[in-house]
Amino acid sequence: MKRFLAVVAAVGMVAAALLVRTLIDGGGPSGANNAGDGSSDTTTIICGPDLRRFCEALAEEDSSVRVMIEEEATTTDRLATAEAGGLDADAWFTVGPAAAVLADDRSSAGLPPLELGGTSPVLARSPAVLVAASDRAEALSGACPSGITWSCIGPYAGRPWTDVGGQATWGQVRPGLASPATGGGLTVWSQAVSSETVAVDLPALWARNDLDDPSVSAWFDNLAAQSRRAGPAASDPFSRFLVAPATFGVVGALEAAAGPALQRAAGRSALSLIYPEPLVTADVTLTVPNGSDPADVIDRLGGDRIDELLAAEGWRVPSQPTAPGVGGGPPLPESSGLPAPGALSYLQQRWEAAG
Amino acid sequence: MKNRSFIGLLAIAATAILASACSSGESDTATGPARRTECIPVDAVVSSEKIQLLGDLARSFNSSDAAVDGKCIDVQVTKVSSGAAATALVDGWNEAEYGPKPTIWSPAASSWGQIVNARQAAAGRPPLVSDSPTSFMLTPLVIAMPQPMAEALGWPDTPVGWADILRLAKSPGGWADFGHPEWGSFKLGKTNPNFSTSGLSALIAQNYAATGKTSGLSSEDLANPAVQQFGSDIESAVVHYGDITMTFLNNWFRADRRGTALNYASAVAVEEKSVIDYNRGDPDGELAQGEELRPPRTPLVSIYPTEGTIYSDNPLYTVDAEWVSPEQRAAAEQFEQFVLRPENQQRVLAAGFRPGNPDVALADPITVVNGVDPAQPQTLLETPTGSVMDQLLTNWAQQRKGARVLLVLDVSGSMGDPADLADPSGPTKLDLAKQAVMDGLDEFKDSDLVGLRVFTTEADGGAAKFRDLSPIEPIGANRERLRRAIESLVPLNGTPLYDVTQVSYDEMLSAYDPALINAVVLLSDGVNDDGVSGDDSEQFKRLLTSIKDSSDGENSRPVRIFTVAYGEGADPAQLRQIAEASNATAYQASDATTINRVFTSVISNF
Repeated sequence: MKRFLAVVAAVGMVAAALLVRTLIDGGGPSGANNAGDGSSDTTTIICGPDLRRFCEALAEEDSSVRVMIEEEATTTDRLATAEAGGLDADAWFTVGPAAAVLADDRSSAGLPPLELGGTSPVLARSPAVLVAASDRAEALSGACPSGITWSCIGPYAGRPWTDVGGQATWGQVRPGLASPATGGGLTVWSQAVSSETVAVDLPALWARNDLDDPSVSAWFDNLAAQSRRAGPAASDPFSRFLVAPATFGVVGALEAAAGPALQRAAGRSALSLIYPEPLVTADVTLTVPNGSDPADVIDRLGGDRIDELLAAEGWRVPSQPTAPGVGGGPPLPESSGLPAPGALSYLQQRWEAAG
Repeated sequence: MKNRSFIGLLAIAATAILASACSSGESDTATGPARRTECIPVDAVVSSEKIQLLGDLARSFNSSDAAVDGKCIDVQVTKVSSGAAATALVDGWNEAEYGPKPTIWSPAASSWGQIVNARQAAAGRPPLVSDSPTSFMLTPLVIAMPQPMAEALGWPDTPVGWADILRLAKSPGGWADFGHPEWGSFKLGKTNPNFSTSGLSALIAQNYAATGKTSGLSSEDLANPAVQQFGSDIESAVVHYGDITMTFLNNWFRADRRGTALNYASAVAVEEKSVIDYNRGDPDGELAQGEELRPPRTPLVSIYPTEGTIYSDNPLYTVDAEWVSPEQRAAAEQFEQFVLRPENQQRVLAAGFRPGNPDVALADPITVVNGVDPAQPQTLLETPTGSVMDQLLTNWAQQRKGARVLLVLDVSGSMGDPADLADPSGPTKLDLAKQAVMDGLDEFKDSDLVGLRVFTTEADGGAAKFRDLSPIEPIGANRERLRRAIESLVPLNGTPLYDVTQVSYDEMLSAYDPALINAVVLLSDGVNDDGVSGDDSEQFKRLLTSIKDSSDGENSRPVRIFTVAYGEGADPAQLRQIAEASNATAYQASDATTINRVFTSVISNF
């Protein structure tokens, strides 16, 4: 049965990919302005799932904008093996350094760099956070006197809450971390790894080989396996947590999603938003195809509008007021705190293998 | 290892070392961008430890203005182990397996070239490589030791040699004789000489040490009972054999991170360059993208044995074969000259090798700070003739430390799936695993103790989770019976992986024999599925804890669990954790084409 479902899912994904492909190739109702030269009325943008609401809002206000939602890793995988051509849309909004990962993947595969028009400066940022029911957070505080981090939670994953000082009726400690195929998921996972490397006297800016360190490796495999046990619910653990809290004991998310959502949530006082150390941020950028300039594309889409919409969706944008529920915790670090692209690619591989 | 001819052994070496490369999942080609079809193609096949260096040099060369008659040159570098390439060159180069036929061949040592030419001569064919190749870089064989242990032996003031290793190996007190009972017994790591240049060089060196000679090692020397006893005593201290030195260095590095480096191994025979890499924080000598140097807590130092040592001289051969055209030969000559240029020899030096061009002086990183001594070695050993090396390997097969191994084979229902999903009527995964295990049985020597256990839920039709097809006993008289038992296996039910691993490990531990290599070889295509999922996490943690508790510390009784994750349904992460907890190695056979080679590689540890 499991295999049958997997086949069905695979067929579905292939069909979806073909549909996206068709749209991107201009086979849809209005093709992308691939050249980025303004020769078409339509602007096609690919957005990572964490930017869905922002991109859809952008399209809602401008009917010439067509939006394709695709996990950053899917776009990267597709372009990483492309023999020719370039980015097949007018703009690619990503969370995290997807374009750098793409360049690194191509270099590893011995392929020449994909010709791109460049990547914009950081448009918006959001730190990785933890969310838990307040009573669970209190129990975790007792078990993690130096602060609640994934490093501390990891060894408890899959064990009874009673081991942490919680109640037997809470069952097992179920961690919720999204797949690192999305930019947000990758940021949350990378922050989690940083918390563990710091705990074992390795740099917070961890390297690929640090994931093979015996302590880090065992911790990672357990956390990945336990977080993946939730099945389909694991694809978006934070959303599932909001509607079915018992699915997870503690979840990782971006502040952009968690802050406003907790502000809106019924019984929000029963939920805790935690900024784990070290602080790591998901940074939003825009990458454009060869022959195009990021600044031009931003102008065409409306720079102010982009800033406003990102801020409204919970992202931190310097020139904009923050949305309700956003802006707590310590000040953001100057850089994202994410490691080199090769290390991030390896994290994705290890997560796949842990399934 | 059963007696067999040197040439036959090389064939096995070829497949196993290639399997090791395959199981790592790493690319074998290092040069980068696709071939420039307008240029003269030059394919260079090199041994694995220098793939990164030669790949970098080839990229620089390709972007230079080098040309033959105005035509540009495109050098592409592929790694194939020295033994595998030597066999392939003589037996017929399989491009599907090893890539394009080489114009340039650079094994770790020119002894491999001598072997190729000797085998060509035996077949009535002309030599394939020059008798006097250009050595473009060198690195001596050393005995790597954690610095505190070397210091306990009197290093650096007191010279240390194989005779000291022998004394330690034979001492019942082990490190207690040197004031360090907490380090336990003396544990030596050596690679299998049938598979590894370092292993072969160490074997030559220890036999020279037994004779007191530095040249002219003869068959008569090897027949001397005292020499043979010397060899057996050295081998008795071996932890386990590895297929490549990186296996040991990676294990050592992991143990170092756990704070147990001094209990995993006391000394390992490796090339000097590997000590530099290890101390820099790159134990396998190959920094992948996203990796960074992480120096170990306890550095290694190089012991240059007082009795003498051997250089890996890294020759650059232009292959004298019909597939090499005159213009390719001319292009290869240019590449050789390019590599020998002082500026490129500086890159050789930076990579931790000693430059082949004497105009480039030894300097960093060949320094004491990195655990090596540029003034050493002071005594060199002569490489024996091919027939003496053949005899060395034959003797080693009897002298090497014996093994006590339990093969634990998954026969759950999923093993009945086709090995190749595109060929539903083809062999099943179990068919191929059975063949690999049966072939692997030949690699044990007659006195090795080998048992076979198969596992699945309801293994006996009732509650049993495993069935023993053969108790652990000498395999010599048992080989055929085991083979027949394996042939009759069929796929059955669930996969009680944790339970059976725990029981198998506990049994091996309770009957631990310090005179032997004690190991479990666990092959599975699935994840734990014993019908009770609620306790999986606790079960797995208990298993890892019990393995770690028995594997580390001065009183450890190391039972290694070598795991083979077979097919896409396997959980390589969990199997890797099991293997690493026991200071062993995890292997992965992703498809039907690799299982045989991977299994041979596993058996090379014994």
